Amino acid sequence: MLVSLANQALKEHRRAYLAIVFTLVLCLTGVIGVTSIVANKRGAAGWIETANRTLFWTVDYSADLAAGWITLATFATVLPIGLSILGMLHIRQWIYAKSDRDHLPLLLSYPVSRRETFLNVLILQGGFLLILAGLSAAVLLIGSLVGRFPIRAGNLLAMTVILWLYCLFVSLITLLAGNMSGSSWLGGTIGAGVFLFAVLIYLLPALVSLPAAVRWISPLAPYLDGNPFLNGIRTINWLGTAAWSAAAGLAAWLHFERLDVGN
Amino acid sequence: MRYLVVRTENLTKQYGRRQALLNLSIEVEPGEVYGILGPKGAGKSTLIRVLLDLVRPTRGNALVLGLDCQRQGLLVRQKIGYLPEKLQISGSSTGEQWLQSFSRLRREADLGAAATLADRFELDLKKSLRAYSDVERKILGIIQSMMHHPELIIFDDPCTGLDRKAKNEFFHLISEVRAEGRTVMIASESLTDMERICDRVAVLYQGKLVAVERGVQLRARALRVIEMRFATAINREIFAGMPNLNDLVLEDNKVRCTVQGDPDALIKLASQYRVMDIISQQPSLEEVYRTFYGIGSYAG
Repeated sequence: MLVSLANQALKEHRRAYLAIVFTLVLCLTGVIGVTSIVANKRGAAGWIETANRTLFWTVDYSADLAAGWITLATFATVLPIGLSILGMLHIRQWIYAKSDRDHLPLLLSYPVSRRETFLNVLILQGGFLLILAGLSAAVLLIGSLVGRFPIRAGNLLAMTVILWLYCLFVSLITLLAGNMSGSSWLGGTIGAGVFLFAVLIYLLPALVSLPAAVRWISPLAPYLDGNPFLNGIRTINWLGTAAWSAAAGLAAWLHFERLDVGN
Repeated sequence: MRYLVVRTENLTKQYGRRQALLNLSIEVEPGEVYGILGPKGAGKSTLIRVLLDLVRPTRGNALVLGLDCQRQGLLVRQKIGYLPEKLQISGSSTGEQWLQSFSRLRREADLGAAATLADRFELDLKKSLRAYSDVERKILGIIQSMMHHPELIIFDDPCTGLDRKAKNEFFHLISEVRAEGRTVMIASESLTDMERICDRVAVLYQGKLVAVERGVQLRARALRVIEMRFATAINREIFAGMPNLNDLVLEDNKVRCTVQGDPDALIKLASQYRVMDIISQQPSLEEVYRTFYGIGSYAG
């Protein structure tokens, strides 16, 4: 009931919710930053450090004070999570929003193939990619102003692409789960579960070592072998990332080809 | 084999455990107005969506204009017009721009027919979509389904939301389309609308075809609940000889009864007394189903 109500509210006030998510992400980043600075200043890890380590895996605040909270470990954790939620909402808006659900049957009753329609979705994703690139650039700029974070084209590209793939992955899972179950809220719940699982995969390597296969198939593999934002795009597992995106894209397209529209 | 505009054979569609259509076989002749009547959940919209290849059937097949609606879906959709049950029209563009965007999908640029239709409905196509009322949006939807002069037009619940004037104009248009030899399919829950315009009506119930009725048959069998209030109390005996009268209830000067078919005899009988008030209404679809097809209460 609660999930259903939340879902309804999400549909009706999606812009407000997007703003709330954005604010939450920023607040969360701020909290981590402040606690990191405090921990650094006092020179004692104590409970703040423990909390940060446990919750956000923000261990990389050995730099000086201002850079402490802008460390890439922080951004590499919190920002992708926040933006993934944003991405999920973004695609939900496109696919699940009532307006689009009602619009799709009319569109597909015209001599338009589903492949064309799907490609149009991807073009829309291109627009979303540009937004992410802008956000990434802003983050990098702040990082370079406040801390010692280097601005490189490779960093910008890596951050943008990773964030986008991450959003897309979570969105596609939500979409597929929702359509298979025939229920958007159930799909959303499953999607959220998968999302949490993905976050765990992201955090787990820090705690326990993962088998190589998991590292390879994980869309989060770019994060596992080092920090791409510090070390550049060479550390990204491009093969794994490309394989995952291609598989997810293909699965989504095949599913859309067989999808019963208008129910 | 004679040419049919729509032919379905044993069409079945299941959504999980729910049976949306079951072994549905219908045949729609060229130039007829074919109705699909049924309550919510009867399978009307599912049938239409199968014909448009929006929904893939579990079993059976469907031919539209002689083409397989799945394998030759693009060709089929080039030749038909469709008004969905739920029509989402929003945004900052004008009605004309909205129609143009759909026209381009058919690689057609001429909006002349759309303008003519808009004139008939007195719809201003220069207005922003946001400024349109619900009735105007529905009319815009009707125009988009007819503006390319399709061989087959499929309307899913076209009359809901239309005012009396627009509805009359719509029925005139349908008559003209029929006169031109083109074919129309209309899905509706309204028996009144079906009686008024359709040549034949497929009656659906829980995904199954209950009957295919001719429009004239429907009109002859139409049920009406009539309530009359007289100036003085009336004796039951005066209605005794009327064969098409049922469920007669008398309360002092009030009479309530159900009439099947033509109410002319009842009206003439009543006119021998001083009638203070008369109300005629159609019974619910559920009552009609129970009376004619022996089907009990249905779940939507």
